[in-house]
Amino acid sequence: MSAATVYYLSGLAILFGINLIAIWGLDLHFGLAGINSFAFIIFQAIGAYVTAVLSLAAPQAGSFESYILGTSWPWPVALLCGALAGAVLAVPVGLIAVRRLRGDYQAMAMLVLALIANSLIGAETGWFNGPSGVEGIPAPFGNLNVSLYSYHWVFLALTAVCCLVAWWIARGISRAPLGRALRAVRDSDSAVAALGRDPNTLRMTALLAGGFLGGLSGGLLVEYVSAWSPASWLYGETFLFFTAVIVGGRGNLAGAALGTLIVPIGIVEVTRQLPQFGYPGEFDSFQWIAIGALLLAFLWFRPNGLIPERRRIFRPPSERPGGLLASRPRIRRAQSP
Amino acid sequence: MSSAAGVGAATALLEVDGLVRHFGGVQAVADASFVVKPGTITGLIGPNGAGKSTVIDMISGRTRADRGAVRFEGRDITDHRAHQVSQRGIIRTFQTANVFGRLTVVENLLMGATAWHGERLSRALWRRSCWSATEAELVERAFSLLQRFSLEKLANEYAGSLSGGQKRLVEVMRALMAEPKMLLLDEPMAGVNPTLALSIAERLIELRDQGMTMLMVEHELRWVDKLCDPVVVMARGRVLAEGSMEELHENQQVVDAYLGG
Repeated sequence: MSAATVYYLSGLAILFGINLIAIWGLDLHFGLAGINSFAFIIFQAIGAYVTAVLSLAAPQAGSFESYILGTSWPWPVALLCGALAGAVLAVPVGLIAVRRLRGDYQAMAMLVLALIANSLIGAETGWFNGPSGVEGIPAPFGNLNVSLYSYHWVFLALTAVCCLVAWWIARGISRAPLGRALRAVRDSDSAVAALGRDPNTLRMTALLAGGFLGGLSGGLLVEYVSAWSPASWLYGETFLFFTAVIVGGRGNLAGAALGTLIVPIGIVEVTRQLPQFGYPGEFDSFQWIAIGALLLAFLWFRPNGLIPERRRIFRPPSERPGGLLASRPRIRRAQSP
Repeated sequence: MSSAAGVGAATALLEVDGLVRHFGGVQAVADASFVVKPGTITGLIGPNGAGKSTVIDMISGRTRADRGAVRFEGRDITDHRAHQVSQRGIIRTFQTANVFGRLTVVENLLMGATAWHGERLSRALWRRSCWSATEAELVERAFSLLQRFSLEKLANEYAGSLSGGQKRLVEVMRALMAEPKMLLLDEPMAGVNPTLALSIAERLIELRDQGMTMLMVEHELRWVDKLCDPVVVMARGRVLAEGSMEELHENQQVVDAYLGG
């Protein structure tokens, strides 16, 4: 393989990891807790903005840039704050769209939130430099004296570590009793309340954890691409994530990974290598048509996705050989009803 | 009718005192007062639209009362929300079986166990050791319940794929997993085949003999005859009468309103 190919592939792997973190976060919202999180992109956006303005220096006098903070903090701190900002954003989003609204109304409220947030950030030039956005975000390990090619491996390693953290959170939640309670909320609010749990608390927990992952993904993305503006997080991006979750299989981490490989990487990134045709932007439109068609096809013919949620099998005590390990539920692949 | 609450107050587990509820211009419950004594299966009957389910909803915190009070073990729980009421030990079932369809039967039962620390985010992430033992205990309890109801074969089926009657049983078992002080049953026999209904009835009698208190809305009078004593009759949002079924058959008002010839 030529060096250029390796460079390209490692770049794809980085984008895969960054998208995967966000899609696992969305899976916590939508797959596990059943929240119609059509505003998911704003969690990624806030993570990116916060990471950016914390790692950038204050805008220079006389430049046309203006943004808040500009504290030049070291990148790990900025990244962590970006992820935390995603979690904090879950509170207002939850209060507006999750506490009182369900189903279609919740989806509408979420979509409207995403649109308002994007217009607001674009119009308000004082916060994150308005429509032009922020740029020149310092890269992590920027003082390493390595070639551009080798640097890709460094960033890939960083992405892998972040993916591990995300996996630990998503898997920890879904296999614990908390995960079961969230799946219960997804099925019936009233029954969960009748069994002594506050459905809103459970939903907020999922929203918070998923928001954290969204923020982490955004922070990492902005450290990779080094620029972020309202055009990077139009509401359509949320559908990209949703398509990945639905194609891969909601409520299944491996499914989400497969969906990430197919949708944001396969359809969006890899097809950029194809020869462009038509007027400028026509190619992009075809990408969106492909994504929409894929989403519809799966919703119609395979709503549980390629790797459906797994059924947790419990054995009666008499059939177990005994010991702590034996109390673990065996997990079997099965279609949901 | 508020005198009923006064008389029974000393021995009542649950007191419903002058509950009122409007939905827009419709008065669903005009004035409902009655008591439920410990260890009884108290029936709540009446024609459609009498307000029985609304009363159950108000007791369980699903619907707010416009006026009136609900007291449980002498404590005012009128303003409790649904999850707070169930934390006090009142577990309800629903008119249409309300199971978690994409959870297995065992998982449904595990959700019945009182909310516990395995459902906290921090414990879920860091301390597997502190919930796995409790989880194993709960699984054991769930299987022994399944055995009692002869449903072990369905343990790992998705609850959504069960028949209507089986869903009811799952709902009752799930309620029992919570070790409630009192059960609110909203038409537990509706849509259940006669054999299964009989087995539900037997379980309910068994539970009553073990000291469980129940308030049960039921339309089929043969089950009310068999299970409930005393029985509260509601009509047009008010409590019309209260007593054993024999007494109610003597009561002309009740016969006219509901029981018929």
